[in-house]
Amino acid sequence: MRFEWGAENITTFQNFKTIFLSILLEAFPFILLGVVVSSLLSVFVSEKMIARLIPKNPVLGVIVGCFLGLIFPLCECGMIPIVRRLMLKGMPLYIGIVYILSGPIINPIVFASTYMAFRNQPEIAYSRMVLAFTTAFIIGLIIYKFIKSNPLKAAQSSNVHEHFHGHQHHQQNFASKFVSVLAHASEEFFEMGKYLIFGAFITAVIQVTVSRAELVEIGEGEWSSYLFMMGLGYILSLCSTSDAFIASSFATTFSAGSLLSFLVFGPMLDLKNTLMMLSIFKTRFIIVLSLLIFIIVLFSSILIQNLYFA
Amino acid sequence: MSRFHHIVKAFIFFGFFAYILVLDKKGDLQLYIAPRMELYVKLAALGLFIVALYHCYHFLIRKQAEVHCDCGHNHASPSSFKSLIIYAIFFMPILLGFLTPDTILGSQMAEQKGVNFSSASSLKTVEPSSESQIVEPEDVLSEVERTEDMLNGVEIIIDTSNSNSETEAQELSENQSSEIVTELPEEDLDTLFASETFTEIYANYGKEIYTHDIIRVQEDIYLETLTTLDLFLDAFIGKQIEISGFIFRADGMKENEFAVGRFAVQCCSADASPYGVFLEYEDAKSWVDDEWVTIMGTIDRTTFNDFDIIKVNIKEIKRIEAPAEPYVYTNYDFGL
Repeated sequence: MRFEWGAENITTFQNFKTIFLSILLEAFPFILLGVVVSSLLSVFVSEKMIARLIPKNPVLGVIVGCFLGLIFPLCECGMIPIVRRLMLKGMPLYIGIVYILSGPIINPIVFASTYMAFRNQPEIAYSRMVLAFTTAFIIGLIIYKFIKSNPLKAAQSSNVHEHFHGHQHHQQNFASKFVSVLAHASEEFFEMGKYLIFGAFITAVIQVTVSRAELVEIGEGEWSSYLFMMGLGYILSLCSTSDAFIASSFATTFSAGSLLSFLVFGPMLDLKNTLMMLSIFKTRFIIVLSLLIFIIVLFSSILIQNLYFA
Repeated sequence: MSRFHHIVKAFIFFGFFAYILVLDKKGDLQLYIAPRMELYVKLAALGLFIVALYHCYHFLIRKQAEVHCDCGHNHASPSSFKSLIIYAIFFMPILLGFLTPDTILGSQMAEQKGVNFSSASSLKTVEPSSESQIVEPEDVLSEVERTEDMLNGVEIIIDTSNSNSETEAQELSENQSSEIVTELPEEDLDTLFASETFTEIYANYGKEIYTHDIIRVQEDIYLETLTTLDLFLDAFIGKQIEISGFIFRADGMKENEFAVGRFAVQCCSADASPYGVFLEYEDAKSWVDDEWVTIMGTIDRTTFNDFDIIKVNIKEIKRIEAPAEPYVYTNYDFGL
């Protein structure tokens, strides 16, 4: 970190600007898609339809949640508003969380880009999918079994009014439905957007002030390499479609297991999406969820390293 | 929702829309977003514009606003102080975008991110032993080298005399080199480029560029070329290379050492990573960071920070204009 304000700092500031705005611009299409789909769901899909589609069996429900990403390949920015909307319409918490966790990984786009980045080691791409499934599956069951209270933030208006929407909008014509989709989309854009901007800001500050070399020094050693790669995944907050290319640049320095911990942990939990989740879930729930993700990803990637890659 | 909120929100949405539009007009969108993602960002701009219109409409036709909010939301009823802070958060990136210049990531960021001199690193990790399987290519090479060195002299003369007809010169050199290859039995070339399933496309590309007298690292296939050179470094030692990029330096470089390279971007500049070649040049001192240059030199190897990497001994270096597209991207047609 530097403190005097010279030419070098102007460059640092410009780099910060580039990274900050590039994360925002990159996230815009996805967050807009997310809020628009969420608004469409809110206006056009009833609680009954959701209830009919959701499997009664929790294990089946979790499995369906894990593979929702195959049908709706979205990244985390777009997913959070949609999941909230689905939950308000009656989708159980555990399925929503499983989709938030597995959706950004178990989808065709992410598989393809991981396969590309590790062309010589397709095992990495397959293991990434398997680890993501395992982690989401276990967490889904834990949530089903142990978390009974509703962790959704109640403060926002949407919760209270959800009930009316179903009936009232039926009588509306297409034009006014379109307008109410816009109203919802705008409202949600502001709700999610402030966390996105804040997350992108911190991520950009870290990227321009802490150098990779400084980080790698921390990450030397058996355990610390996992912690380092997971920490890196957390602060970089990259899109799951591009993080495999970053991971591959560490291939000579770190073990396959620790690369996998990066590839699975990052999309499930990072700075940007923690802040975005804060917009819909209570803080206590996010802490519990983060701990679960952390522990399960850590141990399962160490396990896969020792059983398969060693 | 009061008219005030509508007009502020309209400004915010319109601000983001205008920023994307202006970036695109100036051709600077590529400094933030990879070309393959640009379409989505432009579609997002359209969406932002529509939402901006929606808020404008409500601002202008106030009564209608209440009718449409039939769900009874108090859409933005948090305290006015809180909503001012939130609006400030949204205006900050817009102002930052418009008021400060758009710049290219350069040497400082390259140093920060850590340069990847060994672009094939992820390919090499499979079986480090595979390298030892490659038959020492020295004897094969030396023969070729001698003939080629003579030809190189010719090549350079051709190149400088009519630099306009570069393609012609290249064709010529390819013709010449194909003669050399015929001297080199097919299986020797295969030994030189021994490959496995996952490195096969690089081996094939390697065999192709091996026949060129000067290996030109083209920008549309930049990463792939560097990866090939790195992967089959033994085969390429002594060959001529031409590469362009900006100058940067990494920690641990000596006074006569520097590097030339480009940033590779996957989705957005947040994932940009620098790739380049390690250079040795007596007069390195007089070449400053971030200058764009084309260098011509001979491929060699060195060890840097415990990695065995490609090194180029510079024969010729010249300043160039920064290219219109500063970053390089994965070539998705490679090997197809």
